[in-house]
Amino acid sequence: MQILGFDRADALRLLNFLKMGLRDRFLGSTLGLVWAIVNPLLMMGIFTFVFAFVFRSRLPGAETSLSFVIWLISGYGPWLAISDSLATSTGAVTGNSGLVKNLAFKTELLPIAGSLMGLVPLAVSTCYLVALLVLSGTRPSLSWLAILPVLVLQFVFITGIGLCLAAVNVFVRDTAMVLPNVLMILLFSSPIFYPLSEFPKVLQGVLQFHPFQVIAEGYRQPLLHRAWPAPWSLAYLAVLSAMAFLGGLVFFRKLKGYFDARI
Amino acid sequence: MPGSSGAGRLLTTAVPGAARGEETMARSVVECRDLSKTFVLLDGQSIWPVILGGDSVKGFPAVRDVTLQVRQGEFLGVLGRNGAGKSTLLRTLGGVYAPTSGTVRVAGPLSAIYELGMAGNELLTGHDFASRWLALHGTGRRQVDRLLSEIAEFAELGEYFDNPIYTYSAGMKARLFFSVATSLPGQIYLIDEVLSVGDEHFQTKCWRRLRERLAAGASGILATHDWTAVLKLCREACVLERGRIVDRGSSPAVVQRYLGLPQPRGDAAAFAAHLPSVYCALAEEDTTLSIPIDVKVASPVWFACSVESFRQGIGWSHLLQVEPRPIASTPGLYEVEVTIPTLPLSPGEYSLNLFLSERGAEQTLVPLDVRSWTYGNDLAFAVAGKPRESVSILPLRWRDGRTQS
Amino acid sequence: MSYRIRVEGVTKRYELTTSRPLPRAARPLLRLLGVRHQAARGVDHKMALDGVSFSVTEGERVGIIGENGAGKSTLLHLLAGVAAPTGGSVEVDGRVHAALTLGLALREDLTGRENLYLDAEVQGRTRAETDAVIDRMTAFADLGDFIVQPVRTYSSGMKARLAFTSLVFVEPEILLIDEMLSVGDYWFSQKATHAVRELCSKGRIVMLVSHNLESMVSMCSRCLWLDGGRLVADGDPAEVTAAYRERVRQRDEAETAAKFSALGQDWALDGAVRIKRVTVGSSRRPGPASVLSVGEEAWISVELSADRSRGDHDLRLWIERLDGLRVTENRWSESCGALSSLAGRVEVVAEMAPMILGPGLYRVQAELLNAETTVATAGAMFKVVAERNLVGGQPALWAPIEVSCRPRIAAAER
Repeated sequence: MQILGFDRADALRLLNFLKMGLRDRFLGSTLGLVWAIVNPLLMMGIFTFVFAFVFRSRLPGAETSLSFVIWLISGYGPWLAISDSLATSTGAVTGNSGLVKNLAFKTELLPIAGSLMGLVPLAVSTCYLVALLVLSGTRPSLSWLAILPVLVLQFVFITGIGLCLAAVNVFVRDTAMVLPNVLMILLFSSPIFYPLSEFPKVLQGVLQFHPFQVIAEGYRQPLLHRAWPAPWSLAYLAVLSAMAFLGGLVFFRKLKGYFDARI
Repeated sequence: MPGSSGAGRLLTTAVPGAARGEETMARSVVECRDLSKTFVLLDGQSIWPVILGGDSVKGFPAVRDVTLQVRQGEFLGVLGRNGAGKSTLLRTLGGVYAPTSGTVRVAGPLSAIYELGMAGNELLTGHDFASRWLALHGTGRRQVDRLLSEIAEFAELGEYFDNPIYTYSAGMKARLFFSVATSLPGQIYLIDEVLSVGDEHFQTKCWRRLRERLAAGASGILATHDWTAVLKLCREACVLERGRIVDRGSSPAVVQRYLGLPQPRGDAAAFAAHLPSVYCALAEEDTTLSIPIDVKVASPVWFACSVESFRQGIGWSHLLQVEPRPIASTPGLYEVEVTIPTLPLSPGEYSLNLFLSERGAEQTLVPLDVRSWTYGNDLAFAVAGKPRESVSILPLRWRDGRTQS
Repeated sequence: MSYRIRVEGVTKRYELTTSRPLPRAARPLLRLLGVRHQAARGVDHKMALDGVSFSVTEGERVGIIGENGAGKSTLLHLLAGVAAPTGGSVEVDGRVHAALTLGLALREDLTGRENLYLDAEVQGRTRAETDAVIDRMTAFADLGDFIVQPVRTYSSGMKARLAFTSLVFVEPEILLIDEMLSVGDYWFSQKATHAVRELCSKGRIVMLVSHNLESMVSMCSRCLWLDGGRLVADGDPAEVTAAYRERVRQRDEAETAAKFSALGQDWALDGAVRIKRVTVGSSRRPGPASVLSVGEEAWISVELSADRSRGDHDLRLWIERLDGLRVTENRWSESCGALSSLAGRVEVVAEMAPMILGPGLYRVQAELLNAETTVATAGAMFKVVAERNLVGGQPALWAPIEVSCRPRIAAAER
């Protein structure tokens, strides 16, 4: 049985690559496992401190900074996962040249596994967020599970982009180096640190279709407001993700025949 | 683009129209037809026009129009110097590279031992490398655990097995890799140059393991520059030069041409022109072989002969032998008769090697005319009878101890 | 005599790394990921070199052989100055150039040609100097069109060629090569030998480690044999390599022989009919023997014991050589009908006159069959020796072949 050109053997191989990646990243060094947890927590802790205590930001019409922090983390957590996924998948092919040159397998599995590694920071930040929510007195609710479709779509979308970047990176190695800067720019230009309503009216109309905005809202609605994300936003995200994934896959497959010139 | 060489699937990228000889394909385990692999040379050139299908791209043809067939139970030798394209050919057959044109057909899971195949995270311990490699090749967890102790023992790494690979010497890395790559009892092997790693002791072990696999029915390809390995393992061989097959045939003949060994000319004495190319005999019967020779000089001519058989993984073994002895010293036509009482060979085909020589300086023998597998012109010796498993039959006489005879 | 390299009483001790114990809490997760729990180990010491002393003068070509882990690479590392000895002294007088890891100095993205230039620059040569010899270097490397391809496309043999080319033209005073040359093919070995000889004729010193004993003999004027960190031989390459080979061969043979003898099984389906023992002997002396001579009259005796006979039996005998060659398989029924009326102790003998097996270690196995099923089996080991070796090879069988030569008549030919 084949889906999009992948079969059962490929699925098993993907799982193996994922295990390998997790092992290498988090267990290669003494602090690896610790770092996997501490790093996201540290980032979120810093932002918590800065925005809650230094800037004392508040959401429009809110009472405490805690609600702002919760709002912030519910968008920043997924962001951490996204940037991690993109960074890992971009370097997935070039960093595994040994495998590519000695094992017969579908190379596209490498960036896909790389993208799925973002699940780790996502898990960590979600736990942190849940802790904050409980702290703020919110009771856990089943509506929280509504983040799952968004989560899946997020990964599909990011994997598609990751596939593109991975392929491009083989030929233009600077891609991996430039990526962190690009992501930084994207971060500050997205409604993650500041709500959409703070943007100039002109941009708001456009920005509500920004994929990261849609994804962030997809997490915020269930977790903060116990509501399902707007159906149009899910549908929009689904279409976008499908296009990104299929596009990325096709692009990668077209380029992979030329990889051996550069790996 | 062909699929990956997964478990038990026949993979084909058919070029339309290449359907002739389908029935012979059935009994081969690895087959390729008009296989070519060209690497795109991009240095200094931008990839984008190439992808968008515009410019024709400069390519380096590493493998050109190679057609090979490996039959079940046999190993094919691919000889070639460094840079001839052997590694590329093997990797293309193994599915690591996609062919540029031509077809590849592999009838089952491959065990590929590529040169420099030990690439990987050097922070891993030998143990982790092994379990990772096995997992990547589809081995279940329980089997991995079972194989790991065998791998550790074979590689003779001792405690180093649990140390990171960056602490290993080059020899240790090679031993680990060979040990891991041959741990799965596969059926089809693609072996690239790796039989020459390690010291004599380890090489003996490697060959022994290879013979075990052979006994279990392995087949495959050995690509190497080491012709002695080809002579040990392969009945047939071919020579790869700049990506093309330039010679093929029985391994001794191919090796002889590959090395450019001179053949003795047969001026002073030679085997007669009507020397048969096949001799026949019956097992366990008294046998006489008549060998006609022409002696042209008035000096002693010495004769020797041997009956040999090819054992895969060991090479050519002598079964019977006649030591060199003088047989004639005046010019003339002669018939040498070799009589073997109760021919102790099992039915089968053997190689009959004949040597005519003369005494040279310091007790050496200078060849005058030779029919031998080392020159690719040995004679066939066909022994008929009831087939047996043993290679020879000792003439034993049974006696029942109860009757005092 | 002025020594350029002087090594005295050198010892080198390594501490083997310990493994880290994994955090307890994480174990379930780690097991899921396939990470094994390792107990912490203590620190371990390894004496890589133990009291090695030798000296090397100008113009010597020294080969170092030994088994894996004998300390060869360690010695080269000390000579290169990459590591320091734990004890003893190493004195090296001259510019040392060491090729200790294949391709370490090669930049994968650059072409072979570019790498040659780069290496020359690192060695302190000007571009002009390199330009003058680049064509000779290219010819020496003999890589054809590959010289303008990136090194990452090279096989290990090609990398070795390129690295060696660079080394040779750098013309160091002392050249150390670690196991690089064995990956080259036959023609390259010849070239390398020639190049090394030329270098040394100019007074330079080359020391190389290799497992390829033939190249050692052709390339070197002196050979050191390291075993377990100790220098056990130092002399003519042909002699030292022959002794080394012999030792390895003996050890392997002993190992194989041990495994071989462990294979023999003695087994019976039930106690009713058994093979008591299998023995081998010759007409030279009475009684069983474990060593036979080629060509003598020998026998194999199979002693059966049966408490009651059950139908007709058959006896199958096979003999296998140490290397797995099965030299015979004989059946009683082929010449003597059925083996019947077995009761009490019965001896069946197979005689060989002459015994035509060649020298070697053999195992004979007897199988008692009842309607094609094995009901009992037993075996024995024996050795065959010969007074002399045959000229021209070691055949499996020393059959009494006769050769005669008579004139023939041309008219009989077609």
